[in-house]
Amino acid sequence: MMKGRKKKISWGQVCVFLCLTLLLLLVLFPFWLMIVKSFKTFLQEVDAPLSLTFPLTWDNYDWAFEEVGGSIANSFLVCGLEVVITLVLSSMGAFAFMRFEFRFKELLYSGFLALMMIPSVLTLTAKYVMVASDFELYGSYAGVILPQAAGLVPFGILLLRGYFGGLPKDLFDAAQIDGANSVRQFFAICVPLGAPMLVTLGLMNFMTAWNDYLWPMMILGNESEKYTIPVMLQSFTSDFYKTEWYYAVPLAGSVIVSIPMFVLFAICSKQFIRGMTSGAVKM
Amino acid sequence: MFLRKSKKKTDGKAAFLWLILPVVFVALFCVYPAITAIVRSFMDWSPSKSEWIWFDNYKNLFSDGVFGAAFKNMLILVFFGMFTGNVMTLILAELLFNFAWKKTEKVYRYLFLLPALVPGMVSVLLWKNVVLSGTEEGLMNVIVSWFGGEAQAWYYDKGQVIFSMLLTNFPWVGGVSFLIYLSGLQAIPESVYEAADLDGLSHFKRVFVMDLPFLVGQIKYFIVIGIISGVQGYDLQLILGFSAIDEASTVPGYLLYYYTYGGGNATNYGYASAIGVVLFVLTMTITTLSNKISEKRQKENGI
Repeated sequence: MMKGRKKKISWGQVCVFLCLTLLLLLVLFPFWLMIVKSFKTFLQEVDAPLSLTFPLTWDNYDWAFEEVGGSIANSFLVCGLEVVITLVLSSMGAFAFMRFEFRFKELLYSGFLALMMIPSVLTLTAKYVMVASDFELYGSYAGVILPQAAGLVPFGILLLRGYFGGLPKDLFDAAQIDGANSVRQFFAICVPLGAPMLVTLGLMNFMTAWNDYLWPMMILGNESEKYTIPVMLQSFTSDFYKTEWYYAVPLAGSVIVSIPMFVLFAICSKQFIRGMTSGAVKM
Repeated sequence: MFLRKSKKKTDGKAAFLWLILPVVFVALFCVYPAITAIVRSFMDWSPSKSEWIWFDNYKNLFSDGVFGAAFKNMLILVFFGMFTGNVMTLILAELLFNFAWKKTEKVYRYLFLLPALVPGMVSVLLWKNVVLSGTEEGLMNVIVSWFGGEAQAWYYDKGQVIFSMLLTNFPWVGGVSFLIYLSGLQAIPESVYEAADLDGLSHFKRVFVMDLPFLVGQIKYFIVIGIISGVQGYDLQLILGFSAIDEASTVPGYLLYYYTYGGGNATNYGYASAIGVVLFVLTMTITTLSNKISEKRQKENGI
């Protein structure tokens, strides 16, 4: 694209390369240490805290998996349901805004957009009391999933209304003439043609849900068999340190819980990058 | 045009059926708690009672020393966070953009993305227990000892805790924002670069007179997002297990959490709601101001 500006291998380029490499090493070094330390026994940790030591202690991984393995399944369940609920609700809303004319339409739409401006701290207390006490959902997955999914709907509507609106109008008109009702139109046109955006939005929401710590922690309380990854990792790490005085096994746990996202990224990196960067469309 | 418009169905009933679920859901979990929070911030509200006390929560809040300290900590964290959150990512984007070995550049771009895939909790725990750990084996303490320094407590030293929190995630590029800056740079028209070359602009100078003005939109976005999430954020304090009423490290959001979830005598929903309203007003003001400023800029010079 910009061939003209960049010709020969120059000292400038070598400099850029070295700067980038240094930066990359700084970024990745803590993660390298995480892997190195996750293979250590207590004695190895005391002897050589920063370097790779042999033999590698794979037992750490067995132990860690026993502790955090269940939370991976929990996280998939919670995040998966959150994504499904958000996608269903926001595509329904977006379809209505795209396809129909009705009174107060733009007012209602602005209402949805305005919700994105409400900071989560404003609602935290009232939402917690409502969900935990009034609805008696304390310690349940429903209490974790429903409010979080609802919170992601306004942005989903914004993104999908734009995308559905860009689909050719003639398709809908033709379907209309053929006598397809709005449900048929939704499933025959919006779902298949909107699939790329639905996948992007789904991945975005999945990442958000995957990293959620505060709300699942507050709602799940001490139901440790229901913990999602961040909650489990945090509680396991501090519990382990209290008795064992080092971190190798929790670090092995950190490695284990990081793997699913890498696998997902390897499968669909393109949609992932799109999902991760399209947060900026918000403005 | 007229034909197109006439084909759109005007059908209130169908629209109602499509919208009822999303609206009810969002109203229940987003709108209702927001209204409750504002109303109840004027009440003495805890699990056992609920009575109107009007502005007392706010009066107490503004005379509360811990809240004052928390607010100050938040301002420091947000102010420096604006630099840490943007300067290094901008530098990274510039480096990648000016990197002519395209194959290596592509690989590097993926490598810089890796930290964004790791659960946030993993990174924080790494910094807490490995990098800035207060023990002698902590990475930073090992480095300090190379220079003959003594092991520091970092997060658990009241004098250093704010600095340590700012240092967390150094070199502060482990996200996706560099990709957004990078695509902003790639959107600059080639002709602009040719003009710059003709004018004999050095690469270094070009960054300041050309690239940064072109990236104003993205920079503004990240600064506003950074401020808003900084005003609300307390993840680090929570995960590091600090006391919410410790003036050295607490922030308003963490106090709100403490009065909501602290348990025992600490629970004071009304007071927590008042903190939430104050933070809400603050973030709204920032967003409105930034929109006003960019509207003004747009009128003046079309950027």
